[in-house]
Amino acid sequence: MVKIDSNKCTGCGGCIDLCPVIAISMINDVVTINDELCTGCSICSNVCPMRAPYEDKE
Amino acid sequence: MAKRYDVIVVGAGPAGLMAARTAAENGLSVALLERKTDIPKMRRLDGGAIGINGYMFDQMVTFNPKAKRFCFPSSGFSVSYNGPYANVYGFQIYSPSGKRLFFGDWEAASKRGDEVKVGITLDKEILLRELLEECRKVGVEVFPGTNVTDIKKVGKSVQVSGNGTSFEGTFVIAADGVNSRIARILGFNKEREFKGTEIYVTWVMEGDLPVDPGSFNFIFTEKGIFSIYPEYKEGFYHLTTFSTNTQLDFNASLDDFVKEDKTYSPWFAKAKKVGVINCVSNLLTPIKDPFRDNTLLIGDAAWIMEFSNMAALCTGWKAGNAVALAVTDNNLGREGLASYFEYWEKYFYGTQGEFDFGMGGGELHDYLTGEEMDYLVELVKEPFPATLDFFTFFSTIGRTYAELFPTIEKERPEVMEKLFKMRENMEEDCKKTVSIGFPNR
Repeated sequence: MVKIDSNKCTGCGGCIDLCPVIAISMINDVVTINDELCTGCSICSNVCPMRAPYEDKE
Repeated sequence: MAKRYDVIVVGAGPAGLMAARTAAENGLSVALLERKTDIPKMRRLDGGAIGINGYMFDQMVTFNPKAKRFCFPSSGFSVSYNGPYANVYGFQIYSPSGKRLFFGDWEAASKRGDEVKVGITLDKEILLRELLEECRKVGVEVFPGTNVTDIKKVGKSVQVSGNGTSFEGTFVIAADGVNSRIARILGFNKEREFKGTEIYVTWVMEGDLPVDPGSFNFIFTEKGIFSIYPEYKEGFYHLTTFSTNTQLDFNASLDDFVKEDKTYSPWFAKAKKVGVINCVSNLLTPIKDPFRDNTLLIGDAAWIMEFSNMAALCTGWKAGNAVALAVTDNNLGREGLASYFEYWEKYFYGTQGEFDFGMGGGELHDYLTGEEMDYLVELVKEPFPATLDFFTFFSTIGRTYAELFPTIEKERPEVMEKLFKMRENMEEDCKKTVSIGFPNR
């Protein structure tokens, strides 16, 4: 499961744009990942300048 | 039942706002969809400047401080801007030990100011807020917080959906930016050449400006490329680093530059970091034919990267007019938008679309030592003409060094060899930077 560290996220929207399955959206100006759609491909963590997305092992 | 509009504009940046406003002024019913809830709020990095008084894309922009308007005389429209601004006089390039290469006459800049400016920095939130208010005044229906996830042609219309709501339009104008999702869904990106992914991280700094007022600066060091440019507000400036190596720890390299760099760390001794803004761009070559399935791509959505606020406003204005003409004449296919394609060709795709965007390759510091970079900067004795046009910037540098090759070959053959190697490896280096699942087309 990929989650977003909201302390690191600046809301630039790069991950939203580049997510191949459109699993990321901006809800009330907070970036959120939809677990049902996320395939764990990690493109978001690779493009995030702030390294805000992280793998949640639980 | 989805509500029907003459045109649905996706994306409320400068291009989308301008397109929506222009179409509505011409009597069309317009829906404007934007994923942000607070539309003018800038969350993504932006140069924050408009180049003026010089030609770029064969277009010229001027700023009239009395009327508080940007004027686009080649196209014949103007845009209101009631915010603060500061003059920009050109670029400067710094070598690792502080040697400089100038674009512009900096003595003239300090004495004659206004007469020699090539751009102004501005508060983009104010520009967007004014455009949004004008949109609402002319009847654009605005839908903030709408994240568009699908678009398809249904019969003679296009259907756009997001957040569980559907909108139906005769036309769609896609102004959803450099990483356009609509371009991806409609298959435009399959024919585009992929040049890499570039990340920019900016620290907003508070403190005395360490560079010439009104300068946009690139600083080359042995560890990376940094840039410094002032904000419209005195006492604030942006310190940026950027690279196509997406695996870099960008904040760590800014931290290292500010604290450890032998030449430049003293500049930041009293400065304070007050914010971080960033962006990431998938670099895909410009789209020659930006129309498919009744959807017209404008602004950055059809370009390779940030294409300037000027180009966004121009393409938005023209798209709004072209769509209005097509609807009024009931000429709803490609032929109806002929005036837009001519404009796109004349000013934008036709002037720079085939430009060899040499991006995504290795960077200077991967190949040259600090001393060698100093040598190259010192070779250029005369300042270049002032400009804020990055195409002129790159071609001037390219041409100048090509002319200096015989000198470099004679004086420092090992530097020449390294430069050739860098060019040879460009394609290989580019592949290295995109090896993590890209391109995501």
